[in-house]
Amino acid sequence: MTQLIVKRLLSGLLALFLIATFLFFVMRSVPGDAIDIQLAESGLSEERITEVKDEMGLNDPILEQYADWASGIVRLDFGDSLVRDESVLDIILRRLPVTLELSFLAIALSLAFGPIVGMLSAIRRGKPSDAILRVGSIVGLSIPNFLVGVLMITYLSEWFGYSVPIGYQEFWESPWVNLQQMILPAIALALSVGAATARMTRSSMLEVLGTDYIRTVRAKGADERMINTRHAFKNSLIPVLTLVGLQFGGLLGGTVILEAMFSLPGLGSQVFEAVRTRDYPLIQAAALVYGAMFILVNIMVDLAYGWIDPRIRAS
Amino acid sequence: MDTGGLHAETSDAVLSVRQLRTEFATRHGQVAAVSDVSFDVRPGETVALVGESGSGKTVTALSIMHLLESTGSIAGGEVIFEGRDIAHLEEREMRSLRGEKIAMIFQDPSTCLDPLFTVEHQLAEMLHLHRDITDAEARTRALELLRHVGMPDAEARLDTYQHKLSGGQRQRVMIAMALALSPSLLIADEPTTALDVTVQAQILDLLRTLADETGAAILFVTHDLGVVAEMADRVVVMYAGQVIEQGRVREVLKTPQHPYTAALLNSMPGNAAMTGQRLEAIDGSVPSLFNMPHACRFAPRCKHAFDRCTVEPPPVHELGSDRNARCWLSDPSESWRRQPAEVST
Amino acid sequence: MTVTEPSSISAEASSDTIVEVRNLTKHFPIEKGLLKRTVGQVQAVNGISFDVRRGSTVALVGESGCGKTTTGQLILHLLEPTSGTVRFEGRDLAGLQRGELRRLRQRMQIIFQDPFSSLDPRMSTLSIVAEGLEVHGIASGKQKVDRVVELLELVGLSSRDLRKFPHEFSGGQRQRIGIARALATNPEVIVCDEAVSALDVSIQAQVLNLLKDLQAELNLTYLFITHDLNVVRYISDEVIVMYLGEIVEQAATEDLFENPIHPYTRSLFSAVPVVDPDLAEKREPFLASGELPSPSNPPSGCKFHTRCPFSCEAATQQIPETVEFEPGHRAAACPCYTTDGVRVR
Repeated sequence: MTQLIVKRLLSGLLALFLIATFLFFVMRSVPGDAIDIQLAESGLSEERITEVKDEMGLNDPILEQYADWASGIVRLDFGDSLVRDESVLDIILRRLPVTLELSFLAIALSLAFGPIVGMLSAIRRGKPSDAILRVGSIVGLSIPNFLVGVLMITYLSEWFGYSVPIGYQEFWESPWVNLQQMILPAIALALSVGAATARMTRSSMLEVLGTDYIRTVRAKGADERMINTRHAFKNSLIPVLTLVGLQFGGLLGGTVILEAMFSLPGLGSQVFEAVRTRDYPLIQAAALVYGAMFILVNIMVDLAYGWIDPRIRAS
Repeated sequence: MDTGGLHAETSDAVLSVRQLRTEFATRHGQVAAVSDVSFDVRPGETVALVGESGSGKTVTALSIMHLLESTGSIAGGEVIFEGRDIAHLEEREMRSLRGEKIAMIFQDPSTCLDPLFTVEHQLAEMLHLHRDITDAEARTRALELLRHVGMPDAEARLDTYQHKLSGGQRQRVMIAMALALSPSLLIADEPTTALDVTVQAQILDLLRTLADETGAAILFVTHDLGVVAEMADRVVVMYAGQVIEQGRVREVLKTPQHPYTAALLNSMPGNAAMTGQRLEAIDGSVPSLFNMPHACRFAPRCKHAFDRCTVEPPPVHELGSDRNARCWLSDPSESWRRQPAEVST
Repeated sequence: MTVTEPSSISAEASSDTIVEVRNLTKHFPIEKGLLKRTVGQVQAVNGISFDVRRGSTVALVGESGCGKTTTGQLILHLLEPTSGTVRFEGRDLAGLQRGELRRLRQRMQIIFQDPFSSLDPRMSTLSIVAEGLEVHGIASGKQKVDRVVELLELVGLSSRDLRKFPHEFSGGQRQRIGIARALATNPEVIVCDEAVSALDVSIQAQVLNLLKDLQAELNLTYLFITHDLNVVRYISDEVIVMYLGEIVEQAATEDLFENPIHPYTRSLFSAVPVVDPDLAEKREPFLASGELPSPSNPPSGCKFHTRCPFSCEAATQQIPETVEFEPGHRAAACPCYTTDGVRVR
């Protein structure tokens, strides 16, 4: 098990390195950069622009820029933002907690409902409630989360006159306001992950319910509740976990748009901004952070496997 | 004859199955996998239910336990257990019988234990379900049970999971679980088919010893006539969903009355090898449930079939105590057709 | 000519030997960790030697994990041996060029156990059986179809079955298709890997009879891999008993069954359920205890000593020598149960 985790960590680091390298070169190959955009409006002479770019290292050979940048990463120095007068690390540290809170909330919501809905659907297989839950999960899967966001903002105010409090408040400053600001985007994000989880739990549970060991439990005289909740549900969670780990990537992508939409000062809305202004160092660093989060979540999934499944624990 | 034709009073039997009919819902409508099955199991006795695949032997066993998959159900007949018809018993009441009064073990021990729970948990679960005992008591009892079924290193095995056990050890756990509450009937569905022959011998030995000790009756479902000879007092032979012959093991194996039983014996390579004969295969294959011959179901494959066999369904003919056969050749008016020495074992 | 040890075998095997196996060994490495370090070896086959006479049937018997299936694959060169040689008509398979090996493959075929998974469900009978003809460029077009029909008729199917798919056949019929496929290239040697184990006894008898008929008609040589001693006794001329990758006993079939020498062979025989109640009573009491040790960590000395009722101190250290007890009847001779070739009990 330890070996598995170490293996995952190492391959995760390798993946991060590849992501970073890929991004570095792709971003550089896009024509136009942040300085061009900023300086074009400042009316400076061509010579001066070149000088500024030299100072910032933007005219160095690309491999040299890459080496500088890569060695910085190892020291957690992602350089300075090209747009803001701030180091990239500071921006990330300031913005990340909001994104973490949002993703955590979204995952918690989808895990709170997805598996349960899937289990109920499996237990009531073929009954009307199963049909409703299944249709519901297909809808949840197929509506893009930004659309859910738009719909929530529009109709909550139109029907109930409710609008999300303006001006972001941190959780420990004002939990109630913070939760109001967080919950809607979290629901929008949780919908698709939760729906995918529900569908997976349903099919996995139906498979488990047909196994010999469930028949053994039934032959012992156990009631359906015990069969479903203790034996079948636990066994059906194994493939669900894998799915949650993979879905987490999509969820992170969703935070970018939803943070911008709900004006949450998270890493996502910052990235949204940075892409527009071609703030390379920030985009690259943010991509690495997202990558690291994805990898960490999947390592947690591996740990959870071991916790559930003794066969994996032993290997 | 109408009750399946058994002389023995049902009152002394642990289990009396009477004209059991079990149907499955399919895309082509209801189809009977088991029809008109009747037999008794008396206290302390081992009865073998033998047949090839598709004979309905496992469906019969699962019907008794109400463990059929959701498309299957008992469509007729009685399952009298300890004097009470349980064929249509409510699930609630059935639950209190399962494990407590009727226990079951299955074919493939590698898939029958929950992979996520320890051996102790699964043994203790059986005890907690039917007895009001503490965890500590359950653990002590679980250890006793494991020792009793000859589990090597029993104490350490309590905390292991099934993937750490060999096939024979898993089946020992299943047996320990099944006999934990001293049920009056153990249904064993091909319990040694997935095991190697030396391990099979150990498990059969164990079952015999435990059955003697606890006085439990065993309904032993198998396809192997050798296992029948080793284990059972009486044998019920099934073909295409019906009982075609039953009687005491020695009598049925020595002087089979139904041509199918005889043919089955003659198609066993062990017998032929010793006598140097060619194997007597049964031509064709088991008829489909959707396309059953309407008279004798074995007639299309039977060497002795005559016109009556394809027209009129043969009744169950009583042939002395505890012995019957569903064949026209056993009818007194047709017995002249029977050729002597059907089988030579 | 019968199965022999390398020590006593003449330099060239006699002319009617078609397959010659010498010191054949296959170890599968067990890899662990990030760097795939080899932490052990599964000793699947460990230095076995025997000859197969043209036109005969040699049975490889043993329980799961004894190495019989690996041996079959080594003989067909589907696996590369760790050491030792397999000679087909005197030619070492390991030294052959690709093309030569391919041509040789036509003459050695295999029939698998499971008639349900060994046939591609999306291929018609025609394409399944014709595959070998096409691969080896034996026939095409009209000629190919004619040959397939001929093969199907040979195995008891007909031209009506050409366009059918595997799911339209019963288990026995599928195994016939498997046999037709194996026969397509006119092989001389067929490895039957548990070829009848998944079949019901009445169907098994049909297939065994078919295999016997084909052997007589086409002068086939069978290497029959099975765990079923009844089948062995019926079909084979010679028997090789394997335990944990080694040969413990080899003899002509009747010699072996009449006079088994090695305690493992005797354990196997005593464990097989016997149908005839009279014979069952005359049997030796069951011998082997426990279950198969791990082939990655086999016991020292005589590998059977952990389960052997005669086990003694010497057996735990000394690797028993193979002794020819009677002409053609060899067994690993353990000091615990033999003195100068005489069995003691």
